[in-house]
Amino acid sequence: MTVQPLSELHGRARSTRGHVPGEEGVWVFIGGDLVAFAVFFITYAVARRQELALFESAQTLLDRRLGLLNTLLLLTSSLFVAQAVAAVRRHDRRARPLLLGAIALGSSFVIVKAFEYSAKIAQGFTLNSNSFSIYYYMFTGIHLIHVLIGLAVLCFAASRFDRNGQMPGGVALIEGCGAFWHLVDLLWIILFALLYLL
Amino acid sequence: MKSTTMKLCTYMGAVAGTLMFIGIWPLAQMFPPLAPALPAAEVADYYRAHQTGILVGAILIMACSVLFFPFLAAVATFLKKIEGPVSPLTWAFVMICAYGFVTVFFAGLFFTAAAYRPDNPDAIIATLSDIAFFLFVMPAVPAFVQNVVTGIAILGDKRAQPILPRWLGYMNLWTGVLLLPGLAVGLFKVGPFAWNGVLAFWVPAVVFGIWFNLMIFAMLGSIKRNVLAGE
Repeated sequence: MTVQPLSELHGRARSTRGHVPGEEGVWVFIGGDLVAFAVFFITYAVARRQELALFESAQTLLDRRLGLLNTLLLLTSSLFVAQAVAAVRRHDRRARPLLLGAIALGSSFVIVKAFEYSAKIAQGFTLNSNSFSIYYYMFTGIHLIHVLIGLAVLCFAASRFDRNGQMPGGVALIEGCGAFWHLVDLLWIILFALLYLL
Repeated sequence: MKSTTMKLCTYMGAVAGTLMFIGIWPLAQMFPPLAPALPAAEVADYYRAHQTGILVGAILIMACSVLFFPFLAAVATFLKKIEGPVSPLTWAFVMICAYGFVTVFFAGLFFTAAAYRPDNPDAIIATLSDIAFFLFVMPAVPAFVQNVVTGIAILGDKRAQPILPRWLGYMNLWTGVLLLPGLAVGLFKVGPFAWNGVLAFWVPAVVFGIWFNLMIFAMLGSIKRNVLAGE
């Protein structure tokens, strides 16, 4: 019979009572970023309405399979991060491998994106080709910056484990990092729907 | 005594911001900016028609660029207090501000140069105007790094009662990210990322306004709590 450490009981109680994950300040950033992207999406919707035919024909040039692959990569990595957060809460040694898995999946997103960009540029679909291409490159580019920041944040979290694979007192830290990574995922899902599927 | 100086420096930010707004908006009537796609002849005619307003507005812009520094010095004082004797982020902040805000002065200078001789050829006036607008919008790049540095410094504060509130740290990171589209203005003449576009101009302008007011608000709160007292 094992005795649960007090901190673990505390962690359980925290997670079941519906607390705000991470520290509250993280949500200032996430909320602000969502507002900004909402403005992005409204701008896009208005521009698309004005040049509907051009946008629709340009959108068919995008490679939906690569977009879908990237969506799956990010969704899976988000799942890994969620599992890692849960593992840190119950002091499970698997937290770090899970986090490293999420980082690997996130990095593959960047690699796929690099291939997608270079294929598009080789086809002559560049930044100023038409009004759709401006949105495509700038929105996915700004999102890519978010992915890179998110990867840095996850790497930072991965560096916080001690030698036994534990993160003492790091629940708020990993929750905050996880929340940011889920934001990156959420934004991509909306971008994917807007740019590739609509 | 010290806290009075800090308060004055902080308020100086509000003075500088207001002066800049008066200079660029009602006086020079460059807010929102002239469209980048406007033909050189029309740009030149705009400068000829608004010569006095632009020249006076430019004086205010140049004056405000200097008045920003007491405010930025107050921010640096807080960062120094947070970091203690070893303060790389404070030094980075000071250096980035020193050249990032100088561009505001040069923007005013180029507005002056563009409006100064109405009989100049159209192309010369339009080019000087381009430089002025780039100087006005491109500082988004140093501002991004400055905000990230400020955010990291505030979040690095390990005190139980932080010198500056932690939400301000996250707010700085958010501001930094939203200023980023300003970096791409050289690539576009129309659309949302041109220098008069929604995402390269309006969003950063609004975000900068929010950042500025919240910084002043939070700094005055910290001065009131007397956080700088004691070594």
